[in-house]
Amino acid sequence: MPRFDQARPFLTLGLVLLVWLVLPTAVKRVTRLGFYELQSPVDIAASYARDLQDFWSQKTRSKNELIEAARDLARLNASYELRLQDDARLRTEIARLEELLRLPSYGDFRAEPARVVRRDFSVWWQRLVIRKGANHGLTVGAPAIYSGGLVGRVSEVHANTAVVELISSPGLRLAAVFDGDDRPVSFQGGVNAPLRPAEALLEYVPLDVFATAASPRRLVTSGLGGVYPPGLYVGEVFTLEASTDGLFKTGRAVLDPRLGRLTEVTVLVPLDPAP
Amino acid sequence: MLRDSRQVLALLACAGILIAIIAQLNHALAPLAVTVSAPGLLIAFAALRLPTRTGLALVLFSGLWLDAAATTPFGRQAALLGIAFGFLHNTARRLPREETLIGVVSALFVNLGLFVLLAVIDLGSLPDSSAGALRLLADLIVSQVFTTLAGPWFLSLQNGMLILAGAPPPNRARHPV
Repeated sequence: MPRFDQARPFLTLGLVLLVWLVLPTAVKRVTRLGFYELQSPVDIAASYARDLQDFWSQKTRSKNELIEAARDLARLNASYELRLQDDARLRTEIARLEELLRLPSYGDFRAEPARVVRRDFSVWWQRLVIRKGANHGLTVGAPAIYSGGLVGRVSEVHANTAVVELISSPGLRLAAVFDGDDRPVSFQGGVNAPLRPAEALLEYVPLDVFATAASPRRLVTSGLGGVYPPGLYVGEVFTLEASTDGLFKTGRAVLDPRLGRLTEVTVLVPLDPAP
Repeated sequence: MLRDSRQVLALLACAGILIAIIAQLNHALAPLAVTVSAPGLLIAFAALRLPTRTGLALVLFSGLWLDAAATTPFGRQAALLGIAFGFLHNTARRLPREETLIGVVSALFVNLGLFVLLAVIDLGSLPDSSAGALRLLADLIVSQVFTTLAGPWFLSLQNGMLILAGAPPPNRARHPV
């Protein structure tokens, strides 16, 4: 009898697991969604509480500080106005060249800014939960950016939240190019060692590309595949070494440490999503 | 039956509070690239103080709660917590289970066991296993510190919540070995 008593938890667990295995996938999916949406309001409430905390801490600033901040913002706005004019000119130029050379045009995006609800950075994945979801038109696969470049892509969309998989996540791969070079290299998020900025792994780097600590190379998105717009900053490459087969080089890209402190991102929702 | 349900619901509320606190802590710790996780705390009270059926139901629901926010197959963490519950529940017969120290030490051992198990199962799938092992070690140290500090409070919260729900855990004497 004591022996049966000892086996009882495992027998019960075995029975539960057996039932779980034969359950239809739809039931498991609904259960998962149920549990997720159950804890989602807790995360959202915590993020609103943080915003309120920020608001009250900003209220303690003196008027002089606010005047200085407003002056800096006015300067920034003026420089952005100039850039917008330049941007409009470049867009017209691109459209003209595309028509002239009969090139397929890059997909257009709608920018959807969203607050970060929660950062979830484990050894197995790095994700952000953001405060916008299907109700705001977000779609799975949409790229997310911030002022420093590419953040990642939307991997899950729920009613009022979405999950963004970061470029530092080991599960994320993309085609990148070195700034000033048009040959694509394979980029995969790496393992983020503690107390250090995130790193990513590079493969299939052409042999004539060099990068050292003294002259690092910038890595940007290639635009291939149509998921990420071209030219978004991804990271900095300090070392490249020959791969074991000698045909290519491999290396590591150091990612922006600001990725770990993001409070807001912008999701680029494709205006004409692929069917 | 009603008493069991009340126990499970009251303790699930506690589990929800702990999971929410850990999520906020991890949000704050993200720039340092360390993660806190305390699965041992979700198991310790259930395995040491509750009957098999009630404890297992609680642990499995807590596991599904964790699974819902993870990228791993839904149900995996629940199964792992269930197995850990089975081992701890069997060991509990030989322990002074009402003592807080025993609860905290059990939680620490469960954390350690689950970290090692996850390392064995998943470390090979990472692009850089050695960096992954270093990160996992750092995560384990931070998690154990958190479990040691938060353990007594959480066990006391669970006990208090059960008393509040009118379904206190049975106060059983230690079985002779």
